[in-house]
Amino acid sequence: MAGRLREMRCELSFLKNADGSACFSQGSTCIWASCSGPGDVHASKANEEAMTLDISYRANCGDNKFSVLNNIIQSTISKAINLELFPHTTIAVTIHGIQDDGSIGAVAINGACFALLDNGMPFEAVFCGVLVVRVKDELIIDPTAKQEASSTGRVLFAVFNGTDGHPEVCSMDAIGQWDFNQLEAAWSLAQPSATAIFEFYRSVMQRKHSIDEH
Amino acid sequence: MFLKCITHLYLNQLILHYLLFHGNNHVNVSDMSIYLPGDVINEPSSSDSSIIGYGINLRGDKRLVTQPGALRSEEGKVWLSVHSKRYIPQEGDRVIGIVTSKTGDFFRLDIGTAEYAMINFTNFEGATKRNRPNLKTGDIIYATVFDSTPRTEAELTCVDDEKRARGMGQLNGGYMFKVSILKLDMDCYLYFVQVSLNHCRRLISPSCKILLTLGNFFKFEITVGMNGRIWINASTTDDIIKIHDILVKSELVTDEDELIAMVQNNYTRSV
Repeated sequence: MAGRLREMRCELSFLKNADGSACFSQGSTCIWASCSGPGDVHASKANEEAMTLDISYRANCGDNKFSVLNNIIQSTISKAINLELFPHTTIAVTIHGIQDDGSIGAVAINGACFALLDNGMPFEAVFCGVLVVRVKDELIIDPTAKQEASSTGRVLFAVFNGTDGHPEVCSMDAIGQWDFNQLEAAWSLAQPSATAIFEFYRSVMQRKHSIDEH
Repeated sequence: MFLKCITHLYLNQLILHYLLFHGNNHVNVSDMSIYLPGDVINEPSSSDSSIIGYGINLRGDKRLVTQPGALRSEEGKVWLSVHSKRYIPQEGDRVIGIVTSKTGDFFRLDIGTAEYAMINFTNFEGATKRNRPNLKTGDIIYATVFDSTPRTEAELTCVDDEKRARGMGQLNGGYMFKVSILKLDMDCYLYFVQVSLNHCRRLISPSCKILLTLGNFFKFEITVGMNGRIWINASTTDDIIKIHDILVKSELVTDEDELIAMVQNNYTRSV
């Protein structure tokens, strides 16, 4: 079992005009994420009870009207933010895939969380994405594009940091044949990685706030 | 000289054993403690801090963090200092707004939030039913937020409980624009810039040397709104440009000598 994440890098407040943004990479997979809100909402999209979420993942080529990643990102963020706090407003989270070298879904979710953290708006808990693939009955975490292409099954976990400090699954997206034991094994492999990503969030935010020490 | 704040961090080959020991919600307390949404605050113990401030929510008897920030505590109060560019109205904040329209008894103000804020014309010092404040679209107001219930517009006031303005009210002058517009009129003595909310809080904190240093070189007026807007006024346009440049650039300057050098450089340069 390969249980290591690739090297993570992040630059916050990367895009000038967005309220919160990040350039995030894991290995050679890189995304730009931006988050603007709570902002003014068009009357046709306005919801009197809750905030309107506008999530889009855009790859660097091809038709980007809809991406399969939108669903899992949307459901994760709608669980992460207490939408009822800001009725009649909107938040736009846009993730641009810059370079795809595997596990783009996980990287997109992590980037979205970084953009939310950089924005500084209230939300319930930090979240991250971890992709696990199965190549010849071996589980690989955070695979490269090559490993992903040769895989017989993959599962993307969207993970919350629970209040007791243990990672909890929020949503997952599995492709291929998985039996229960394999899923269990994949999840136990993903847990330390999720914890590592949460630690990385903390160290990046620490760096951002270091200006206050003076 | 002013390097862009780069939060490039390299986490080389994460060794899982290390993280299993140091992981979870444990916060590495080096100089300050950073909390992320979902964390529970345990320090200082709940008995000696009864007032819960910005970025923290009470769930049962647990203090749950809702915004990412550094923990601050003083005299039985705890709050988080959050870095943000987007302003969310909070009761008691002093903000700078722009009059956008007038409807009946209310003025509509743009304070940088999703919806416009409202201010009743009686909430100005000396205003009565007969003597209404003479405000036009585009005027700048310094006011306090006193109602920020969701689902309704934020409501502002320019007087305190004793019906005194105490510095609030219209910021007088003829001209105003934002930093992104580079056109400068020669008659313009007023300047209006938009920076991050944290920089505004830092500017008006008593320990911050930026305004003190500026005051040694320039004669100027400044009003800092908690919604990230700064209004400055000086006797000449050149001074306004220099002060504006210093305020914007000083966001990432922490070293005092560097700050003084920067103010000096800007003071002596010709615009």
